[in-house]
Amino acid sequence: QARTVSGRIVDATDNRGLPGANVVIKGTNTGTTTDAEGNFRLSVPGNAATLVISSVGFITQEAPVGSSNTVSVTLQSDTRALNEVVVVGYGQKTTRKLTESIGTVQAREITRLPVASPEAAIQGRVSGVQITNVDGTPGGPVSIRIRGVSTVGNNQPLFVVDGVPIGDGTANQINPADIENISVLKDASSASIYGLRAANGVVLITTKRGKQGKPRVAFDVYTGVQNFPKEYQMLSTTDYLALAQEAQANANNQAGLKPGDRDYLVLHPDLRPGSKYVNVDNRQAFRDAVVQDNAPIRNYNLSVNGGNENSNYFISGGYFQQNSIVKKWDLDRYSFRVNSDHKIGSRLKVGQALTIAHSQIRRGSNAGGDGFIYAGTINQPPFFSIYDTDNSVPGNRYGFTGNAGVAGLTILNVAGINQVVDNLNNSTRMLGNIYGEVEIVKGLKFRSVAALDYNVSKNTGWRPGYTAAELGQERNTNEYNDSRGDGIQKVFTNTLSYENVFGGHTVNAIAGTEFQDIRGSSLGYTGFNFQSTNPNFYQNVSNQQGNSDGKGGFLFNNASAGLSQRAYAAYFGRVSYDFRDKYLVTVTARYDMSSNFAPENRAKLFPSVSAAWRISSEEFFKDKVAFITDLKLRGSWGQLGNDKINIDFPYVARVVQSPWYTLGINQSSFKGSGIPSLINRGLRWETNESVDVGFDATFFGRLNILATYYNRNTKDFLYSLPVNLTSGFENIPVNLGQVNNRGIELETSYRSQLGKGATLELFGNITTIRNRLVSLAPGVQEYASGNYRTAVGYPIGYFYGYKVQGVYQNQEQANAALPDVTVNRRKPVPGDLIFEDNNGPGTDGERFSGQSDGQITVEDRTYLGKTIPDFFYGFGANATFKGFDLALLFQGVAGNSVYNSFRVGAEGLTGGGRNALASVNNRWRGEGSSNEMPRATANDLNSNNRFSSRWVESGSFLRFKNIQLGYTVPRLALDKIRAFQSARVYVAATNLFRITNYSGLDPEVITYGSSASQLQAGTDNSNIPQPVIIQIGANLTF
Amino acid sequence: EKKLDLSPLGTLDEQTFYQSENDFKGALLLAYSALLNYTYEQFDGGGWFKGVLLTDDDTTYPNGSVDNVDLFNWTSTDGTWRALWQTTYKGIQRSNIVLEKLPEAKGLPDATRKAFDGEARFLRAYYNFFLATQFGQAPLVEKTARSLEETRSGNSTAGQLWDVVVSDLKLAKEALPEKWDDGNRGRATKGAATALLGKVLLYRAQWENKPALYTEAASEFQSLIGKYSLVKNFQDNFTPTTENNAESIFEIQMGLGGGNPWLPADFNFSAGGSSIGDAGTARLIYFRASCGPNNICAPGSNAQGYGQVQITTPLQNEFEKGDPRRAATIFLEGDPYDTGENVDGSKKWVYQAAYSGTGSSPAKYVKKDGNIDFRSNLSVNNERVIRYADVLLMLAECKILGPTKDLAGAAQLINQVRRRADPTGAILPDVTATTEADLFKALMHERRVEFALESHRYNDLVRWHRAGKINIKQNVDFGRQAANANWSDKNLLKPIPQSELDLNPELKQNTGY
Repeated sequence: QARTVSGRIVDATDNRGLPGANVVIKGTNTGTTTDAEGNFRLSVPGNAATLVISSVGFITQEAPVGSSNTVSVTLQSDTRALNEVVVVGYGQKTTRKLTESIGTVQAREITRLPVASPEAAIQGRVSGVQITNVDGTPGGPVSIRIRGVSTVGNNQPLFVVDGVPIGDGTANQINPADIENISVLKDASSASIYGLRAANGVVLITTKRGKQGKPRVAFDVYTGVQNFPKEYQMLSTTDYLALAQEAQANANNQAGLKPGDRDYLVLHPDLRPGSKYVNVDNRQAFRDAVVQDNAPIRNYNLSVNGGNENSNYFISGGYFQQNSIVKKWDLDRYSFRVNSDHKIGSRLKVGQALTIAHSQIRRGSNAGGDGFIYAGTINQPPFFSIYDTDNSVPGNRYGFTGNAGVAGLTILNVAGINQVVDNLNNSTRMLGNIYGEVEIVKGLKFRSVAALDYNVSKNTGWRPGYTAAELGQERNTNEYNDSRGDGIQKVFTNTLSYENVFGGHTVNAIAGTEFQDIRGSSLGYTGFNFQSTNPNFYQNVSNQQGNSDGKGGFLFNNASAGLSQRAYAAYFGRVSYDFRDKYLVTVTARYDMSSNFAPENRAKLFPSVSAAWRISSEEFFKDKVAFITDLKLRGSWGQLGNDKINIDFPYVARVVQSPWYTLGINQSSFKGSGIPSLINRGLRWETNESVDVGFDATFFGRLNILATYYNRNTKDFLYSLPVNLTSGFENIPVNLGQVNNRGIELETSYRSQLGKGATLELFGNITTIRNRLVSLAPGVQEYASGNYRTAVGYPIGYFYGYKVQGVYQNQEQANAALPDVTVNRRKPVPGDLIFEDNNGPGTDGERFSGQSDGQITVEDRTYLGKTIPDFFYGFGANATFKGFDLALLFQGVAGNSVYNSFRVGAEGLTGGGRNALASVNNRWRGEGSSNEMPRATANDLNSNNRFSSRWVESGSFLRFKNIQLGYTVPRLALDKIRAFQSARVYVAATNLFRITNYSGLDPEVITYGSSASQLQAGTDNSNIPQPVIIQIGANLTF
Repeated sequence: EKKLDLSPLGTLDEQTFYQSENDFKGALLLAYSALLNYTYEQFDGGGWFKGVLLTDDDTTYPNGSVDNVDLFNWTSTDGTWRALWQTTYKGIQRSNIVLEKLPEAKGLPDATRKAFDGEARFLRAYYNFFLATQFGQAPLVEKTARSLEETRSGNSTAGQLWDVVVSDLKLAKEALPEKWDDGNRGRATKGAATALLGKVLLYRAQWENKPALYTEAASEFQSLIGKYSLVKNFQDNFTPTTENNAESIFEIQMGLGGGNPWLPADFNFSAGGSSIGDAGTARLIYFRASCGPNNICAPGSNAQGYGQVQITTPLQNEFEKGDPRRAATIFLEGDPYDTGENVDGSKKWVYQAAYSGTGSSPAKYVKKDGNIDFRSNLSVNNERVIRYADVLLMLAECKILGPTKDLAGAAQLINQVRRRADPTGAILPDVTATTEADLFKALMHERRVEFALESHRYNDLVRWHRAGKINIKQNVDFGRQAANANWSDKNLLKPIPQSELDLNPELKQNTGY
């Protein structure tokens, strides 16, 4: 027998009625929401006992109905979200019970940014987690550093999706829309349950499950356009010629050459007055040939979820499509997911998760970073043409021109090559798990999870033959290559967990075993000289002409194959105990084994402990310091491992069949065989020992502050130590050295009801890093590579070169210049750069003596900046008013440096060749004209272009990452349409602007191709910048 | 836990390798393949083309770090020296491991074992001789390092490298076959070991001022007389279709291999990597003519050639008027430039002096390469390391400078080489000098024109300088003022790479660096 219950839900902070709160009869789907005054009215069956009242930002409460017909409830604001569930390794905890340092991001935030991968989506949201997009191509690689840079090797954290460790990242194959939340395990205590792979932190991704109730259908859609945030301005033909002429005149003058001398430099005839080229200025044409204006991006997600008390389900399908802001680079991704849970009887529960994702990238020769297609196109000489508009190339097959020999130059027409080359990268991944959980006795559960991660990839590439006349590069024969790979990971996890509360004591324990088996294989071939350019033919290898004459013809029809295998096994356990939420302690250990190390070095125990003290629950605190709602002190210590070394089985001495040598009268090539490298049987993982201490505090119930000091020491890091080349080898894998990272993480948020339905939330986080190499090998103080150096006492991978002090302004100054041994003691002339004499040669093992020695030598190279920032941060705001919602996110880094390698070519001031940046118009042209940029000279005798502070710039930036303004259509309007449960439309902008002094396209840089290592991290090789994205979208539920 | 006992798939293990004949053949080919690294042009090493640059025969158009090599502005941080050093020690390690594993191998026929032993010793001697002449008292490494500690070696003692080279070559000479079958042509022979031994003894006579060694050297050379012959056509020594001919004693065998010949032989030679490359086949890039200072460019240049090597005026003038070897060695204005056809099958090109800063470019190894049709830069033209002509002239040198003077015999040997170039003697009349000094001058001239651009010249200058026969500083014009000004005694040796010194305090730098 039903009756009607009415009531009012009140916000405890201001005692006003709370609109939009959910009121549901416990155990059913029946419910309603409160009106603008917080009132509700609900028909309940006679046997209904309890109502469940919930609202975002408040602690959910249950209220007994009893016999009364009115129920009034006061909801406590839950700004600390103290009861928010946080996913931890092999389990969950509420925020209230946490002793560890874990950063979490919820679904709402993850889907705000229009990006392909979840890791890119959490940039700026979590303290301690620095996310750097390597480039702005669709689904571009993402570099992640958690609490600094703990090793000279691979720094990517371990990704775990629904309990399955999948490796370094999601490879764009996890749809962000399917994610319920992401937990980042930052400290040793939280991560140590992942043992030997957790030293760089762990990212736990949990996907959505069904919720009880009728099927709810959600449809999310957005579409947008992307553009360059900034473009390089290049010289006009007139300025180009002026620069070339000036550079030659300066070189001629310096060498004392007169017209008629053999070495006297003159402009190529094509560049002299009267030539048809001097009036051509194709800068815009080149720019237009490579830049994709308003490149589209779109995303559709459809999901259905629902369930009853016994079963629930979540199914979804997604389509994501993004074109690059440079031409011919399109990503499509299709993804599907089915997750479900089922209760069988009262004790048994089974469930599963399964996702299938297929992604496809269609592109030309541009491979993201390494094509550097934008830079390679816009720096074409401005008098070059891209298209063969006047049919000047006989037999031209493609319509482009190679400008071969124009002005004596032949430069490959990368924009044209990009158009004629076709590459297709396909990858498909199936990732699924199935579990069974049985409750043996109350509180004691056994859970078994089996998971499979299977991926296949197929990459094909077609390049037609072309000539220098057609495209500025000779590729005589066409080429087709096809490479395929598959990988399969099997994970089997069994855990026994126990949970009990007695008196004020809560015990939560888990013990388990895990076995993981990883196998992969690859196969590829390349064929040349196909008879047809029709894909139907060229994809058939037998159609390729076997055409080696051994004397310059081609005989590449090389098939190559690879196989790999690896396995991990572990026992792990964790006990969490607390007394009345006041005294909390967690002890964790994992005994881990990896097949990658020799049997005697295979196993290690990784222990950790953490504890917390909720001072605010103490009697002596509670009443005296009323403005502090909650205060918890916490700390942790533990050890973690890292087994990431670039080679499998580094302890096995392998014989590799490699370099070829030719023998016999038929000149047959044979493979040699030998041991390519030194091995080290004693090799083992590196150990990261870290401590952190901090507090979580809530003031006035609405201002939260979370502060943590961390100190991480990596010992025995895996390092390929350079050895004397006299051994015949270059390096030996060893465990040595120590890296220290320490810093402070601060997170704060403030949430307030402003009244009249307006809410405001402000949040911010900042993380400082101090990274130091504490020691390297015995007797080894440093490791130099190119423009980088890693040395004891300095951050890993800093820039190392000459310091520029200015420009010699006049002859007097040039005459007084210190002799520069590196340029053969050649005297500079006015307009040349002054390099600093800051160090004489040091003694053994000590590079910097700190003493001037009156000359410039290679020893004067010094510290020019680091690639690890001093700090990084994110902040923003969320506000709602009536139906409107507004979200802002800012993000940035400070204190790091970037090497802008594009400028070395484009501001090299040698004149001629590729085009230069328009900024060279500020070059030195006489006393007082510039103290930064040297003179132009065709013959850089002073080596003004050497690697120096001239090319190293501040990489600090503040980015306006995202703004989103949404409007939720009012209930009343929806009721009229009767189609939607809810409807929200929004407009958003991503990467709208940034504040930076960096002169390049984008200061957010990790050297392309080395996103995992910090050794050579900050070189901007003209990566594609993060695009500015303007987007409109809608979230609809049915 | 048993499931963790995995091993790498698809690779061989050192423990089980080095047993069969094929295993050792493969191991030796690896030792040979290090030779290819010397000639690879495109990375830091550029060993072969930069080595050629040192001489007074050629120079480079001012170009960054290459300039430093050409101008004797040598520093220990220059990658060139590091690459030479590294390649040499790689070759030594690859030879050593064969010598270490041979005694353990079961079931190898004695004859095979002996030949492999000889081959490994020949190669080890080749590399150690390179060290002794280029780096002086470089470390002597006689076994494969097995730990970090074992990778550190100090300098060798005076003469130690030379001693090992001589003893290895003596053993190799006895162990190696006179000739390999058709399928193995190109491997070291008894003749190669003998010629190299003679060369080592001749060098040592001059480096260490031990006149008695001239006689020992001469007897090695003498034993080769009649076993080889000068090919009729001088050009045949530099044409790919006439490799390993009757005049050839040892050559570095170039081939396209099975991978990408633009990459050096050792590219990706790592435990995880697979075979990618082959090397030494891209030599044409730097040897080919490119653009002169006025941007007048040889056909097909730039995209195909970088033209770093340009022939000095002194070498242009060194050739006697009409010497047929001139056209086979260097291009001058008006020479037919290409043996092949133009892209469109029309005309042939004619060399213009304006293609080079010096008016001349290398022709040796480039001309008649069969690949200079500007469609490809890849050349499989073997590098001739020791030719019979070299043996004849070295023997002549022993006869001139050695304690038992045989000037007439020396003149006869020199004239034998001249008559091959000009069978009539009308252009290149016989040498008639009768004094030791005059005959030595004739010998120096003959070596210069006969072997120009074959990597011998700078070594010749150094040993003659050490023997007091010439003074490089006073007598040699390197073709660039700065080079002449910079050259000093320290340039008799290369600097030991700085990175090696940094890793090993026991290692001492050569004087002057």
